[in-house]
Amino acid sequence: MAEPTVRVSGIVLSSLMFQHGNTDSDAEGLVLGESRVEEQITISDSQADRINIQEIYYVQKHIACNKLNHFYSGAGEVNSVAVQKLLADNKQDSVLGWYRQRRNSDQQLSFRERIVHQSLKASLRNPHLLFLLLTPHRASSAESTHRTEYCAYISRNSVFLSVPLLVNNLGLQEPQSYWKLPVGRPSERYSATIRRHSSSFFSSDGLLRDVNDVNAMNDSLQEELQAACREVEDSERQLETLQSEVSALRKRSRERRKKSEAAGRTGEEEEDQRRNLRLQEAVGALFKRSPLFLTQTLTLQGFPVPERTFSGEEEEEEEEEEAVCEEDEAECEEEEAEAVCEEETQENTHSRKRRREMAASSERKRRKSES
Amino acid sequence: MAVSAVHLESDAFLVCMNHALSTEKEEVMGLCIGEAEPARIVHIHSVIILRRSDKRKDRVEISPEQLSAASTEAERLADMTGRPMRVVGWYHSHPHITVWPSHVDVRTQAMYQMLDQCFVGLIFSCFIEDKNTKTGRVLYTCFQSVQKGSEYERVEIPIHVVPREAIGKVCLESAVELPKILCQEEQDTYRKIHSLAHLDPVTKIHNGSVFTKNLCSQMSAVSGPLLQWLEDRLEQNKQSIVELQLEKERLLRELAAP
Repeated sequence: MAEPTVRVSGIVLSSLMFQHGNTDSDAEGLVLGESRVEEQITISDSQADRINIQEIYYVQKHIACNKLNHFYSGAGEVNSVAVQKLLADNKQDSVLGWYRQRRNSDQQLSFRERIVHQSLKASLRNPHLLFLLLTPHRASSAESTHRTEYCAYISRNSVFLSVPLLVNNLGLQEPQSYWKLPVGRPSERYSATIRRHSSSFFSSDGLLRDVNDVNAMNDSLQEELQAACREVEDSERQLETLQSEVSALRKRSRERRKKSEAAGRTGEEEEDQRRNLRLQEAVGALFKRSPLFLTQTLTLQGFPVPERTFSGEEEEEEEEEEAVCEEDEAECEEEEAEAVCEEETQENTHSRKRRREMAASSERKRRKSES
Repeated sequence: MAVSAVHLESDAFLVCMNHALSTEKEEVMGLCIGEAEPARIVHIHSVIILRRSDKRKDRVEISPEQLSAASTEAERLADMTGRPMRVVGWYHSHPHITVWPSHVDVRTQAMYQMLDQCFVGLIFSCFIEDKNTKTGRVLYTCFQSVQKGSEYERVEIPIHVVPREAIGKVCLESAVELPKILCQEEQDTYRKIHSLAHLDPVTKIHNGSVFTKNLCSQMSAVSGPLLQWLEDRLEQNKQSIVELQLEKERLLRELAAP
């Protein structure tokens, strides 16, 4: 059974964390490198021949996306053109997978990441595509301690398997120690044989040729590192200068756009105001006496509430109301007559005045019910 | 507590993390260069990788000569940047063990604090793996020491990685110093062994092979990937420069238009 392992150098893993440290949001991109399959044959007492297949993926570099969701849509569909543009001069074959870094979240794939992964797998036609997930967290409430977890994932039969992400380092191999004591008391023939071949190992100054050669090779490598460091340093300074120039230009451009928008808006607003005033005058002139132009009570449906209603039932109600009014009026007249009789027996002048007032009141009521 | 927080610039963080991840067999260490503000915030602008003369597994110690050399380097940086730089702290790694400082670390920190109250300690814990979930982990912490009776105790100091998209010159130089230091350590060890007079040729050949093997490990595990990373970074920067140049021209045209 194949056991996959992902290996990464310390500088690449540190560089991934460095990239994320420079952004407020999540970070993502592609990882490139090479893969190898190794067979290990083991023989044990129970089994004569056991073959262990090891898949080793070496992550050698990463390409960061400038913005999130750059090479896939909201539905997780990968945009092949965007992926090719991201790769630039790098070969598609060297793509091992993609990565994402998200703060304070669980170390497990989200639903969208699964969709994107399957889509990218199909797009790149790479059934062994990897997904690297790094999740930094604040490990203490005092913010004195921080933790980053990382793991690689590979999809096998639609199931995502965790693959250990191991950092290549100097401690991986067992260190061999230097011998400080001589071999022992050698025989004459042994010493003579060694002496005969020594000249091919040692140079004239008594130093080992291999040691001289490896030192020379290492010195050359150090010079290349220094030269590369100077080139990168120049490019970093050039980039810094350009970034600050472009930021200043962007700011000026934004301010200029804001000013012209504001000026445009002010002109538009004034024109709107003038138009509104003219419209109001025109409406006022045309519909001055229209009841629609006056304040009125409206129903919930937005229709004005009329003073009279004219349905059949309502007519009957109206007639009943009128009849009630007439009855009330007749009762009033009776009451008035009684009052008049009572009053005639009790008071003279005052009662006549009162009678006249009551008569006027009943006349008003009658007129009101008629209208 | 003399320090309220530590701001570690991201390029310095890159160098520290790369150094910590260079070996899982022993602790590595270095010094932090920066400045301390009146508001008790310590800014770390760069780091100096140190050689370990005594590669014991359980302790790291900085010699007075190393501290002195680091102070000279800090003065050089101060002249270069025009800012008051000095040695403001130390860092070391804890491979396969907890991020918390040991009692030795806490005492060492207390000793440095006697010279400078604002001196801080950083620890990077790496090569931690959860066998069940196959998840790897790195942690880093910042601390100072406070005396409690006859003992010292750790005090947590908030630490924030400050974004810095462009990598500083000093940090780049520190990064490429690592393979040089590793090679110098190996050459010193080999030279001491090779200078022993009583060794026979076979022993010398064996020791030469060990030296060759160790140097090859350094080249493949450290120098090679570092050179690859520098080349990739250069490529990436060149691309960004082209894009920014185009944007600059477009913005200038836009601003020149009436």
